[in-house]
Amino acid sequence: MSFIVRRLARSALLLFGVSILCFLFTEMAPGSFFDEMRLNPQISPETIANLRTHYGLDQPLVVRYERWLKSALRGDLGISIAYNSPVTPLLWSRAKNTLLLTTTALLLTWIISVPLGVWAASRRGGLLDRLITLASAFLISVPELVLAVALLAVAVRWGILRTGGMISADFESLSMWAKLQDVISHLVLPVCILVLAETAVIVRHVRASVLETLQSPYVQAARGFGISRTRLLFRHVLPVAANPAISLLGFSLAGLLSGSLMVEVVCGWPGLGPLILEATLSRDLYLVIGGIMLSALFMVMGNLVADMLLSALDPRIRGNEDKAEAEQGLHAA
Amino acid sequence: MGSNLPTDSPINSPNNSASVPEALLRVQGLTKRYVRGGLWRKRLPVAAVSCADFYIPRGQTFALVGESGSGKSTVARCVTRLERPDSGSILIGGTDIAQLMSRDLAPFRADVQMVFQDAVTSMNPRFSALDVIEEPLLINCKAHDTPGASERRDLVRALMIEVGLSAAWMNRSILHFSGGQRQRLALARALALRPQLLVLDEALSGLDLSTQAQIANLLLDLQAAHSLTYLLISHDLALVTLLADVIGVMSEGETVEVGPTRQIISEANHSTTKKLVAAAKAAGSNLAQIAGASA
Amino acid sequence: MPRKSAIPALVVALVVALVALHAVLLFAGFFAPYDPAVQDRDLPYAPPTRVHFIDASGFHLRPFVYAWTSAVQGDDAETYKEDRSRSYPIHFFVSGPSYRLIGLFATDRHLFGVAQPAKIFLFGSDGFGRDEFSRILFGGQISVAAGLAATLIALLAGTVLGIIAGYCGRWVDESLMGVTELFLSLPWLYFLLGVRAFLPLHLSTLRTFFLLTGVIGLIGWARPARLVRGIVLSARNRNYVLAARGFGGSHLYLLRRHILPETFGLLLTQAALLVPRYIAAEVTLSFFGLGVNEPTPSWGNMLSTLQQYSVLVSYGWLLAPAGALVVTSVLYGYLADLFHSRLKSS
Repeated sequence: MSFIVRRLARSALLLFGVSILCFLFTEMAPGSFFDEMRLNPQISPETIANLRTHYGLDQPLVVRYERWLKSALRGDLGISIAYNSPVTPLLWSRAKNTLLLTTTALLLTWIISVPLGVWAASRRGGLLDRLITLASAFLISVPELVLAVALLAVAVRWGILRTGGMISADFESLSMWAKLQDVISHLVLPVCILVLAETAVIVRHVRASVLETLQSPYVQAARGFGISRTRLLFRHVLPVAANPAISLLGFSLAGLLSGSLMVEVVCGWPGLGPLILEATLSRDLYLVIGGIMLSALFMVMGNLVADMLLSALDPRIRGNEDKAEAEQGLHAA
Repeated sequence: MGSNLPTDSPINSPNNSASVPEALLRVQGLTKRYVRGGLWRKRLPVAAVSCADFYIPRGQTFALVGESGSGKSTVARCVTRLERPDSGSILIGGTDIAQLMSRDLAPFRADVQMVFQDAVTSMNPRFSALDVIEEPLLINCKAHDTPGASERRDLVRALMIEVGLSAAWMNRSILHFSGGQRQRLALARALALRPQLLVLDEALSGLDLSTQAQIANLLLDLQAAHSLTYLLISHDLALVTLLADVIGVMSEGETVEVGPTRQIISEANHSTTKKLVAAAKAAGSNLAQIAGASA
Repeated sequence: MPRKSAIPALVVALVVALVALHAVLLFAGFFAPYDPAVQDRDLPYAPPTRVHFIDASGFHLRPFVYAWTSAVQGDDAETYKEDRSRSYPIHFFVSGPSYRLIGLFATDRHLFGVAQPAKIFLFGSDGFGRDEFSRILFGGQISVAAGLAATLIALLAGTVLGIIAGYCGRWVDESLMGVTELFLSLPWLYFLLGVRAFLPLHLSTLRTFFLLTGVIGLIGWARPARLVRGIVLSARNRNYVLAARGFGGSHLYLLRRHILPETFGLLLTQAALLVPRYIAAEVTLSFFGLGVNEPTPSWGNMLSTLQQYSVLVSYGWLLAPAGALVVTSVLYGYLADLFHSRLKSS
């Protein structure tokens, strides 16, 4: 129980730290945040000055941060200039779409990778194993942006998938069932891209972990008893091999969140990604900060869930964080 | 508390350190605690040594024995200043090195050298025999001028021969040496700076019996050749009786009994000493029984 | 007994390929037939020039091309037809637009080219009639250099901080690791965007370049720092380090002679892993318009035109920068795998 409390406290501290980091970054600019606007002759200096006071940018950093923190804790993340409306509802409506995309991708990735990895490991050296190894090695190397653009090109060229946005033009007039189908049909392309990218990574790890478990003495002993292959895999190997794989859950989530940003922009999926990008380009300060905080929140929560899952499965893991991390040196940014 | 020294020795009076005959090393009231935990975890003090008291006259072999956890290794580390004691004094030829700063410590580094238990881990696996033995020469020099490369090679060659290794293996990676050979390398390295006191922390514990005997003989030869003083840390009482002149017994961080070897073995006073002696005798008699039975 | 391992042919091929790639990018001016900024308003969206060896008169050793002429000036896509009335042989080591080799030596020699008015667009041309192949080479200079520089920054910062954390231990270690956890608790692209957001959008190319590499390196130091810290922490307590301390070795000596060498294997592997990732980071930023801007080419901003579906569908050759990126990434990925397996086996 104290483990959960400790992790919660840590997560809260982390989020707090991230918010401080964000505000520190606002001080990073060699000029002020609105410097570009000054170059634009259409925007008068008075407007810029008003914007500055409106955002409280003429106040010292500590005051700004304090004001923001107080309102953030009440759920109010500020106002967006571009949309001229509060940030929180804006973020939230988009966040739902991102969550839909990311969770679907996460589930599918693991549903596909685990059996695939186990199968590849059990038929080590066989044709399928080599194919899977080669394919995953290749896919890991390919940058996610390229993957997204390439798959988009294929989809657009051959018109097989719905591209662009989340819903069709006539969405409102559709029945409940048709609405669902519509969203799903738009979901296919972005999910495919994410799943393809992430599966390559997870399959590799699952395969390696299963291979390692297969070599271990107690599995050899079990084989000596003449246990059938399937039983061996599922009752003896998988539970043990699952641990290092599940510890990847946190990193998997990180990769998916970053990937989803890219995929959303490329495919036009209305999630957090395009919103934050837009906010960055239009210098919408509090929208950017709010977006980053939200993504941090998702990460932290996801990691928390992963950690709890892990510790529920194996209490040894709690002490072995450093070892698991060394193995993850190969993966994640 | 209190060292159980023979009552007729003038050393017994605590204020009489000046009249101690030729004591190369004198340890008085040494304490050392380790603290576990960091910023977030609870700080737990673990007392390793609560009071250590003994002295070693020049040219003698003093053995510190006791069960695991009695604090022997900690004493060894404090004497060689790999750790800094919390309190107490460590006198090397009259100077207290217990609380000296590293700069002031430099001249004493050469006088006291340590040989570790595990020769394998006490040397960098990427090094060659030459690298290992000449390292102290590179770091520390009494006269503050490091000998040149060829001079170092000659020194290393001489040292290797002295410890019973072929000088032709100078450039071989230490991974090619066996356990016993590596312990010889460790000895050669320890001798490089011509120390006066050698601390052997379980130095023979990881070796097989025949190698142990060889290294023990080597130690005796070296001692005679260089008038070395030894502080031998061990849990093996049988081995200690072979090499040591004086035995000190440690139990739970304190020196509980000190005396000449013969006396400790035959007339043990403290309960711990009796336990250790009894265990060693039992092991010895088993061997004798089996040997006798098969004869 | 460790023996000298024979270097397999595949590894040699890999190293050669990587060196060749970087050499070609470094000497982009020589390998590119045209200046990347020069536009040809008559030939927008021209498909890749076809190289021929055989014509009506038979086989020629020297390859040749035909000039493109517009066939139909449609409202959607330009269609081009080869004008077979005249063939233009490809010459090598020709003189063409002058440039500075590695920015230093002024010359006008190019590897290959054809006489005017024909154009040899190996990968076609973009919407402004600029040679895609030349732009890929020059764009690659920026993208790859950004990746390399950012990797250097991240590894340098990560190593120094990792050493400090691992060697000093206790509260220094705990606070530094807390900071790394902070940095690692954000999804990297969000983090990248966030940091980029607060910096000036429109800068000169040089400044943008430094900005990008600085930003990417700034957020990338965390993982190397953790890994280095782990190694330093365990190495610090090894007996041979203690022994060296017993001889009076200073901290600097211990670090230099015993502890740092332990990190080299890891650093090499990390470098091979990070370079392609950071190249991809620059490409992503430029794709979004937050990196290198027109008219300077970068693989990222070259790909951003593909965000329009019409371009994506009709002018497939504009995907070439993606191909170049994939080739680079795959080569580095293979290298990283190699280093990693060598590290594990030692």
